[in-house]
Amino acid sequence: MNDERLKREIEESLAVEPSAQFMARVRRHLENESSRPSKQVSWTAMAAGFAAAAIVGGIVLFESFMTAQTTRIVHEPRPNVEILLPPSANTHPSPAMAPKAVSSQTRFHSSEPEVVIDPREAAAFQSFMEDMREQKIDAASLENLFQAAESVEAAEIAPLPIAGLEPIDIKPLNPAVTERGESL
Amino acid sequence: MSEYSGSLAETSLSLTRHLDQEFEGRVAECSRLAFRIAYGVLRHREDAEDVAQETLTKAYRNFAKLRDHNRFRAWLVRIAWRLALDLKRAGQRRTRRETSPDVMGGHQISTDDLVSQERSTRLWRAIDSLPEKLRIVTVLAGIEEHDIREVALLLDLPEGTVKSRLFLARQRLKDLLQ
Repeated sequence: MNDERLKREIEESLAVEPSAQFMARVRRHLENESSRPSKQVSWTAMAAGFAAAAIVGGIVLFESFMTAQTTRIVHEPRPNVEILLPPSANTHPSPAMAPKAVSSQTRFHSSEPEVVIDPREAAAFQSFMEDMREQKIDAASLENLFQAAESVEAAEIAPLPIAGLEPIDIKPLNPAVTERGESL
Repeated sequence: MSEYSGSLAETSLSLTRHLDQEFEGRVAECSRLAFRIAYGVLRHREDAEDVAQETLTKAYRNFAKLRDHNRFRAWLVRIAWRLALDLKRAGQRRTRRETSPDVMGGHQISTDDLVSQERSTRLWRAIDSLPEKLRIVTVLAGIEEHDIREVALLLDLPEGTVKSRLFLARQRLKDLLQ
């Protein structure tokens, strides 16, 4: 089989005409199609509108949520934090000052790190505050105490006297004796 | 504002009308080409018509997006080829060969017809076994009015490439048919 014959055979088998109705069918289909773009545009516009509305709504909701969160944080009362004291830290004779057992419900769980205070220091501070409130401690005497402390700080510290040590005089060895090999 | 939107709508409408008119002219020119390409893949008239119709519909939808309208034929060839291959691969329809006795409409088949039918079947089986690059060149060159230059234009390839591919395809076909 030569090239020409092969080419002719392929051409013959491809020389098929579409049916008479083909063009009419295509035109009808295209006419239907041409009436569709306006619908497509409106559908696209509708979808874009919905998307835009959803975005705006989302932003508004988010902002209102954020505002509510901020307001709540600002107005929320501080929780009553009680300090846990071990039974051994009973430094105050008053039963009112005795450490209270704090239930797990009254514990303050926050995201902030917990400040750890030595229970003895806390007890001492509480006792001090209680005494101040009950006027067991005289404020005036405290004032005097503070002033005295300030004056102590301000007082000049006399320099220490220079140690009067006598210089040590070390006498040299007798070189003549060592050269002869005699004992010292 | 309304005047502006009105004039914009008018411009858009006239543009659409212009595109429609241009496409209308091209449909008349290229529908046969789309059909023949589809037929070259499917070898079934109805399927090929369906593919050609789908090709033209797809081309119509995207005609406005086509940057260079001078490349319309090449663009259409690619669409038709792809759609025909998709249909063939999907096997959505049982492809009945145009030359099968049913299609011959119950006419009396002569011995010559049978021989011709057998030869055609063998030829297309051989063409189908070619790699896609060689097959499309063979089909496009087999459509009567297409010379090498035209095929090169349709496939956006250099003429030399088309020539060598066509030579290779014919060599393989000859080997297969001997």
